[in-house]
Formats: sequence, C-alpha cells, structure tokens
Amino acid sequence: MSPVLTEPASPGSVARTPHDAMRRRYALLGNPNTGKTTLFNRLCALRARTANFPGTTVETRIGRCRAHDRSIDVIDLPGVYSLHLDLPESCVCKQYLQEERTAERNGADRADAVVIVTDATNLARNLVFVAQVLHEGVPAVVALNMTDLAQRRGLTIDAERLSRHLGCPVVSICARSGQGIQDLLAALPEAAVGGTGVPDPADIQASVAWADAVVQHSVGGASAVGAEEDSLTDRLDAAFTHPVFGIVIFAAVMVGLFYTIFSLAQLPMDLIDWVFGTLGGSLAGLIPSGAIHDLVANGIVGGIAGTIVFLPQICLLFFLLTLLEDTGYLARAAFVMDRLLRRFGLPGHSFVPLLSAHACAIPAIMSARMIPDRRDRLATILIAPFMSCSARLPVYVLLIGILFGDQPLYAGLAFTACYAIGVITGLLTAIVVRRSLLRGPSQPMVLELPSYKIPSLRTALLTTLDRSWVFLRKAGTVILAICVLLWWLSAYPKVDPPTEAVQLRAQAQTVLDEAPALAASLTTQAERLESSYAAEHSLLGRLGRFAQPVFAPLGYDWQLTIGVLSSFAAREVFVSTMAVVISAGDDADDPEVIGRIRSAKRADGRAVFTPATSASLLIFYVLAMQCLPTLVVTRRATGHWRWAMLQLGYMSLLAYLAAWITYTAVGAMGVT
Amino acid sequence: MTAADDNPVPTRSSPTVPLAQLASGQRCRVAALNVNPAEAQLLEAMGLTNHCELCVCRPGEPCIIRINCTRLGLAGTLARRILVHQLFPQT
Repeated sequence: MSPVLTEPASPGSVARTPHDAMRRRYALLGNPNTGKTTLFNRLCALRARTANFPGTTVETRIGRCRAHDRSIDVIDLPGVYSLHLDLPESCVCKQYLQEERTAERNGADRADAVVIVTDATNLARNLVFVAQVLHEGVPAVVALNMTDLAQRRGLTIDAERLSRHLGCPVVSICARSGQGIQDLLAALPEAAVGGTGVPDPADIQASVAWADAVVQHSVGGASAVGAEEDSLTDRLDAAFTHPVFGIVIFAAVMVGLFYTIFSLAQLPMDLIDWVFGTLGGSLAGLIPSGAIHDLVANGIVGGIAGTIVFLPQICLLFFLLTLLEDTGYLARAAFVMDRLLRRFGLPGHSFVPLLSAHACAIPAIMSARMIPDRRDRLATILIAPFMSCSARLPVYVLLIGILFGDQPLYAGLAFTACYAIGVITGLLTAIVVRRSLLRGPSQPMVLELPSYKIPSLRTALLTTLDRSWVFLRKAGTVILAICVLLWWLSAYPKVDPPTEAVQLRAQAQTVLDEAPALAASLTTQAERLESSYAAEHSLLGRLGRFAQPVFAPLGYDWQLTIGVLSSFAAREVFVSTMAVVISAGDDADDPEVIGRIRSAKRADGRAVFTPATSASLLIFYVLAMQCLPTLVVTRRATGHWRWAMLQLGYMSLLAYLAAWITYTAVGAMGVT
Repeated sequence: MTAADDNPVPTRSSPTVPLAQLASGQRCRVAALNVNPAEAQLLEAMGLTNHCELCVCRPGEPCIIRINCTRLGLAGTLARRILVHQLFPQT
C-alpha cells in the first residue's frame, strides 16, 4: 500500500500555528539511538539535573540553555519507539504531550513545544514516530540528526521539502559535532502544529506507507547505503554474538572494565579516607571536647566520608559503561548473556549490573535502569546485593582467617565458595521472584543494534557527572543521616571509664618518666578497655544484649550480636566493631589482631569464635544485606519502600536460616 | 523506501517459512507475526511490520536482520514465530 503524495505544498499553504516569542520550554522526543541525549548534552551541558517524571520512576533530565538572549528549559524525555506501547516510558511521553495539548487548546500562558529528534539514516521508521507526535497536536520542530553519517552513506535529504510534508520546521543537525545547533535554536520559535495529512497512528500499515512515501519524495540516493560499512558491521556482529567467541570477547571486555574500576578507584578511595580522616582529626582539635565535638568529628565527617567513598567506583563504572554503550557493543553483548541468564528468568541486560555488583551493589542497582522490562529490572535489583561486593572482603578476610588461617588451600576454596554461594543464591532467587511476585511472560529479547561508532567522551563525562550527582543528592543525604544516627547509637550514653582502665592510666602516669614505652603500652590497653566498655554500655551495646537471644541459635554471644547489629548499616563495620568490643584494636589486616580475635573468650570462658560460629557468621555475611545505602538506592530505583523492605527482609531471613543451618550442621559434625 | 530498494532486482515470492530458517543474505517479506499483542506492538514500532521487507544479516541466536538501515537483533524464539515469504531474484 502506498499513498499518493502530491508535490509538497508551499510553506504558506501548510496549516501552521506559529507560536509567539514567549516560547520557553522544549521537550526532546524521539526513538532510542537517535542521539537525543547527545543533543540534550550539547544544548545544556552541565546546566542539567535528573528527576523522576511526576508520579513515576521514569527519569527525565531537565536542563537550561540560552537562545536569542533568552533562557529556555529543555526536557529530555525517555527514548521510545512508540507513544502507544504499554511501557512506563511511552506513558510518560504520551502524558507529557497530552498535558501540552491541553495547555495549547486552553490558550495557557505556557509557551511550550517539542523537538522530535530523528535519525537521518533511518528516516522511514523515525517518521512513523513523528506522525504519532504530530497527531497529538502540539507545536513541534523536527531535528534531523546524524546528517553527517547520512551524507557519508550517500543520502541527500531535502529538509525544506520534508518540512512541507510534515507541516513543521525541519532542521538538519549533527548533535555530536554541534553542527546545525544554532539553526535548530533559531527554528524553535517557529514550532508549528503540523500533521496535516498524517495518517491515524493506530493504522500502522498506513503510517508505514505514508512514511515510505514521504521518504521517497524527500530523500535522494537511498541506494547508496554503504555496502562496505554494512559488511564490516556484519563481521563485527558475527564475532560479538558468536556462541563461543562472543562469550570470550565479552569476558575479556568485562575483565578489562572491572580491572580498570578496581585499580583506578582504589587510589581516590584511599585519598577520600585519608582526607576525611585528617579532616576529622583537625576538627577534633578545633572544637572543644563534648557532644558537638563528637558529632562533627565522628558523626558528620564519618557520615560524609561513608557516602563519598562510593563515588570513585560509581564515576568509573558509569563513565566506562557509557563509553561502551556508545560504541554500540553493549547491545550485542546483551544477546550473548541472554542465552545464559534467560534460564533464570533474567534478560541479558542484567549481566552488567550483576557483575558490577561484585564491586558495589549501589552503582549496580543504579545501572539496572538500562534494563527495559520492568519485571526484569526489579528482579535484577532484588538479587544484586547477593553478589559479594568489595565491602564484604574485610569480613571474609577476618572469618576465613579465623577458620583456615594455616591452610591457604582451604582458605582459597572458602573465598571461592563465598562468591559462588552469593551468585547461586541470587540466580535461584531470580527464578523464585520471576515465578511468584514478578510473574509474567518473559519478553524474548529484541533490540535495535545501533551502528558501531567511536564513543563520545563528552557524553560519557556528562553522564558520569549526572549519575554521581543523582547519587549524592538522593542517596547521599539519607546515607549521611543514617550514619549519624548509627554513630549516635554506638557513642551514647557516655559512661565513666571502668576501674581497670582508670588503674592502668594511673600506672602509666607513674612510670611515664622511667619507662615511656611501658607507659604508652598501658595507655593503649586502657584506651582499648574504655572503648570496649563504652561499646558495651552504648545504646547499640544494650540493644545487642537485648537482642542476643534472637541470635543465640546461631551461636552468637552478646559481643557478636553487637557486631552484627552495628554492621547493619555497613557490613565492613563488623570488623572494626569486633576489634573494639573484644579489645583487640582496629587493624583487621594485622595477623596478630586476627589471632587476638580468634582467642577472644566469652563470659563463661568459651571461645567467641568457634569454627561453628565463624562458619555461621561467614554464611550470614555472604547472604545478609547489611548495607543501608543499598537499601536507600533500591528504594529510589524501584520507587517504593516496599521493594527495599522486601529485599532487606528476604535477605536477612535467608541469611539467618542459612547461618542457623550452618551452625547446627558444623556442630553436628562434632567441630566445636 | 524498503530494504529491497537497496538492490532493485525483481523477485518472486515463496510459501511462508519461519524467519529463523533463512540464511544469511536472504531477503524476505513478513507474512505474519505469531506473537502476543505486546510483542507485536513493539516489533511494529521498531519497524518490523506485516508486509515489510527485510534482509537476514546473521541467522541463529540472535537472529540479526536489517530493515532499511535499521539492524534488529531478535531472540531465536521470536525469529521462529515470525513467518515470512522468502524473496528470490527472478531469473
């Protein structure tokens, strides 16, 4: 079916509703992979922020730029293939257009329009979407992006003729290089309600036929589509999606990605630790001793440090992932992993978030937004914290050191088992949630495979800045508040030092002149005793004693219970808490410290860390969430506390049961 | 503009076969999308409509096709449910 198109009408005869110079807000709409976000970054650069579309978890970016000495707002709506798909992104775009149309018809003071971003190399399909938007009756300008690529492929597009067919301005641009951007800005005030002669979008066949006819009238040299470039793409696709080579290439890319993240993030993370440690020390020296001193030096500075320390990993992950996505490779890689993950009810898109969760669950959950299907996205978010993140490492080091300190082979196997248990439990959980809470047909994967290209450094940097800011603004504030609260619980009420510590300090004072080394040692012992005594009598310590019966079936005494409770916010805190509570110092990497913790005794003289309790604790920390920042980020990514609470409850319950089974089984084997 | 315009050789059509059965480089016209309505909507929005012409770039898993300048990757399960008329150059 091919509609008969007459020669395009002259500009004056096309029904247009030009807007006045008051126009000030523009939304960018378009199919995915049309360079919409690149255009947004080109227009707004750093003057942008990300926010959820009202009432949804769909993110939109809102920025500001200047045109004709006037400040205009630009909204980057999500890329969609159609306004009429049953997807949150499509609903958001449609809702936005409906609100605009209502405002337009009511003659509201708002003077808004949409910029429909299209891919000049793929105009026919893009025009079907343009027809849908024009049919909504809002003023529009069409930005014909990637015209440089179209020219290289031998396509010549008559923008003026296209404009006459659509009834609204059409501007050729190249968002990547910035070419034509000024022309686009100049055309914005001319946005018009086009769409005369556009078919009903509900009739897809008519829309396709109309789009084909418009292309035939407006585009020349279609047969010049580069065969050579296609053959290169074919060869690359064959390699990247090959059942064997595809996996090998993907493994190599992922190893490189995470090696880069781990190796490059460590230095800034150490630097952040050092800066905030120094800052805390300096502030401690400036503020007189007391509650405010402790709050600032330990609570606030510690809380900010605990938030910012995640930034290097988040920045690097998003920077590298954006570069990788921009090359066009990630879409191919998703198919490679789809074969494996589909068995567990997950799409291939889940692989990158799950792999990055081994560094930190927070950026992993944030990156899960790339998964298009809502059920798949939620399932991925729910299981991401099962992957053993880097914060679990200190706990693993401590507990495996206690269990297999003299047996490196068993220690290595135990490390591997910890990681394997996390992965297996996560995947089994995915099967369970996809068959229960998130039941529904698994959508077979269908993806547009974008052209291979050299990634844009500018886009990657701006995306990284945006994601980092989102993390700091949304999660960081809550994380800081939680850190301060936990510090307060562990630091108050203040208690007088124990008699033994007072005596040690007195002895130290006595021998200070004759034996300074002995005096220093006695003072250190006194400090340890004071820390331990303060921890025991703090609100958290009292809570530990109160909650101890709950953890008794797992073999934990009140000291271990304090360790578990205090690490509720961050699992790595367990090590330093144990070091304080059992007077062992705070350097878990020191073998002597591990030795001291290993030999710690309970009130009845039994060891705190028996093989059974150590194994039980190890399993507990492999499976338990014990990371409040992750909880906050889950809430933000899913839009509801209920998913975050479900994640916390499920993981905690599973960890408890697994730890109990482990304790019982190891005890039954006669290992005590 | 259709995929066939890249190589305007006259063609004759064949009986319908699943898209998954076509070899690399073969052209076809979509005869039926035996998928659920949501999948059909998405495929159509992505340009894979009834009667559209396409070229198989890579058969198998995933099945990579080209419609005009758009390359789509389809899971094998999906490619098996899309029926097409294979198009042959007329001799």
